[in-house]
Amino acid sequence: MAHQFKNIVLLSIDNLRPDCVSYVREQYNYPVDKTALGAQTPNLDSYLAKGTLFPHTYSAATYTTTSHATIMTGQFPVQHGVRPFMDIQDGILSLGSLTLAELLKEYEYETCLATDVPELFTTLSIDRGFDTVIARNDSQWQKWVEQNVDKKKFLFLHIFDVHEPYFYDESKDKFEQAQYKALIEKLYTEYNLPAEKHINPQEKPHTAWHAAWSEVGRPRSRAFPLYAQGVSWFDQHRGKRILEQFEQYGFFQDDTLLFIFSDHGEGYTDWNSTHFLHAGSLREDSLRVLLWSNFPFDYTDKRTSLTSIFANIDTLLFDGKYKNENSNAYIAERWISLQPSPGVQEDNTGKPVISQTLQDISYMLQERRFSIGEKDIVIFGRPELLISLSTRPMTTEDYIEKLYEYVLMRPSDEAGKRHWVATADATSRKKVVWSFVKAARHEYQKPYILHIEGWREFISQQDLSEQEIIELGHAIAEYEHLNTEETVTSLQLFFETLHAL
Amino acid sequence: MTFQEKVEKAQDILKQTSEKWKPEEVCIAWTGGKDSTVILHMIRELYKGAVPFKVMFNDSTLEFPEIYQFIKDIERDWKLDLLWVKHLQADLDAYENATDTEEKMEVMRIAKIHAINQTLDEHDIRAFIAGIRWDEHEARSDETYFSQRKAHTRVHPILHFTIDDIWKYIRFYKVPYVNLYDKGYKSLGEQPFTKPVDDPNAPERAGREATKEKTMKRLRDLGYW
Repeated sequence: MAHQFKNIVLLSIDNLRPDCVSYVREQYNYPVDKTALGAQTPNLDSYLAKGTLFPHTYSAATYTTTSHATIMTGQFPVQHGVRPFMDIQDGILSLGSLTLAELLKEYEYETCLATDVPELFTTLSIDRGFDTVIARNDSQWQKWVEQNVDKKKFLFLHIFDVHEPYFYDESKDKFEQAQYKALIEKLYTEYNLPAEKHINPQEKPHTAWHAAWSEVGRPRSRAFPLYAQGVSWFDQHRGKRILEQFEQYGFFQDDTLLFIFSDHGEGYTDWNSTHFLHAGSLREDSLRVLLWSNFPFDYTDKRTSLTSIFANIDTLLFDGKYKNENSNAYIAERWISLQPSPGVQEDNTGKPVISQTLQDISYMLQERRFSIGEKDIVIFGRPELLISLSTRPMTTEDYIEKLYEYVLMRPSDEAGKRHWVATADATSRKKVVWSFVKAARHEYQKPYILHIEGWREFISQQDLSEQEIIELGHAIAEYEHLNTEETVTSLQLFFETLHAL
Repeated sequence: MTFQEKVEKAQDILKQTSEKWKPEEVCIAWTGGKDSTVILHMIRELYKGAVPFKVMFNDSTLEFPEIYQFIKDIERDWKLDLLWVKHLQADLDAYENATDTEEKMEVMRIAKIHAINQTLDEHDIRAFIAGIRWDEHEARSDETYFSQRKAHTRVHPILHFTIDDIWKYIRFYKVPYVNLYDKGYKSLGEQPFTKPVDDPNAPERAGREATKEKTMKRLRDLGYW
């Protein structure tokens, strides 16, 4: 017998590290960065204590759009199609992907998406199925709840306060935020930012924040403590208000199925960088997320993925009729933009918007992380595609361009390309592949395959066994809809090449 | 009609078809596009995963490579009794000899009708199931679920589906489809005459050359189609 719920409520706290929630730290003993101890969340904790915490939950991406497409569909990125952060040409939600809103609407739920940054959803069709979309207005979604008090409701609330700029309350009028203004001014002084680069945070809160870091990068030693304090600030202010409102609406009661989660964490950006942010490499601190429900799920301590939200709702309400058959591997991926991405900026009223110049940006798949059994494997570039280069007729110019894409993960530079085209013509393509592999190793100062065994740190570099390469090949082939045999063979050749260096 | 009622209506048309004709007299026009694939899926739902009718794929030789791959994959996965019907050589020659796009398109439209009619005759088909919909184009707004032609009956089970219903069906029933739709193609015709549509609100068939529907209407009026 399927369960009945009057309300389905999803609260997405963008960018929240689970180890910055004190209840999570107390309950589970996975490695925690000591800086996270600066975050205290007594209000959130008091609610989390009365439900089910999924302590080892992973996101499918380190950025908001892709992760939310996964939450909405229960699918991994290659299935739902939202892969780079904001590819408005080819990265729109797949027409064949069923969203939670569409599903629940069909079963007579009123559907509402309330978000601080609607452009992240609407631009890529991630809002498909929602009857109502509310932008940056807590009183408006509360009004929606009250107007539909007797109806079945699906509310998806996405809040951006923990996201940078830390301490900025997206729900409040910007002119009221005296504390935020003081923080920005403090940062400008601390980093000796020349006066001509100062931005008024009351006019452009996001740009003012970025300006503060422009001279010093984003050193983890400074940014992480601020982030942790920002989480505490959120818990004391808007977070508290929202949770109290939820309680008043009865969203913690049995007739509501409530999930509280984050879409990605915050941490090291690239493998060799000390910058503290997200949207970077597929490391634990960016991928690990909060996931909690008021429903008493019978769960284990095993790892889970954000795809499980869709699957759990479907299982409870519809006997699992609509969920996806996902691979045994948990998969995450990272795409990089090949041109500078403007990301989130402000319009002339200070509201965050996505720049339309994004349509000119092209993207490349840089990293994939496959969690197979107890092992996590991160792959850079697309080594499994190298084999197709040897079997496909193509000009030397095209061949070299593909090597840049598959091995170096960047477009060619003119002089470099000219050199390698000449070398390939004078010697052989095979020789050039080897040179590229060497160059890549030098360029990134990192191995192609990493085993990640810890919470924060990349621990060891090992070679994979023959069996592991085959398993990896199967997982990639299944995920990317490639020919399994070709993929395995190509990986084997790739590793042979590496070993021979 | 709710979505569920629309699905039931389509299933009812298919059931009536199987009551009126023997399975070997029924053939489905399958283009590899979303609409006819939805019909194939409905039939599989009705017959526990089997497709008891013949399935015809009319190969103009100009289809997208993705369509050919899709046809092969689904034929294998769904164990279809597939009639792979190529255009007649004489028509393909005429296509080669045609001098401009307009003429080439006209030749291909007639070639399609030749190939289909010949196959219907050869296999003694009495009921021919096609995935046309009322909302596709004005020229189709008068169509009926069972439409009598000279030697056979056209069956149109999803006439009442809108394009949104088609996608809803694909999502709820996990129907496979060609990924060209995700690249902006709204409707898939022969490759040289089909382009992606940038405007999501553009009429579905705007991607194909606009004169096509006019010609199709004329041919239907002439009893060809």
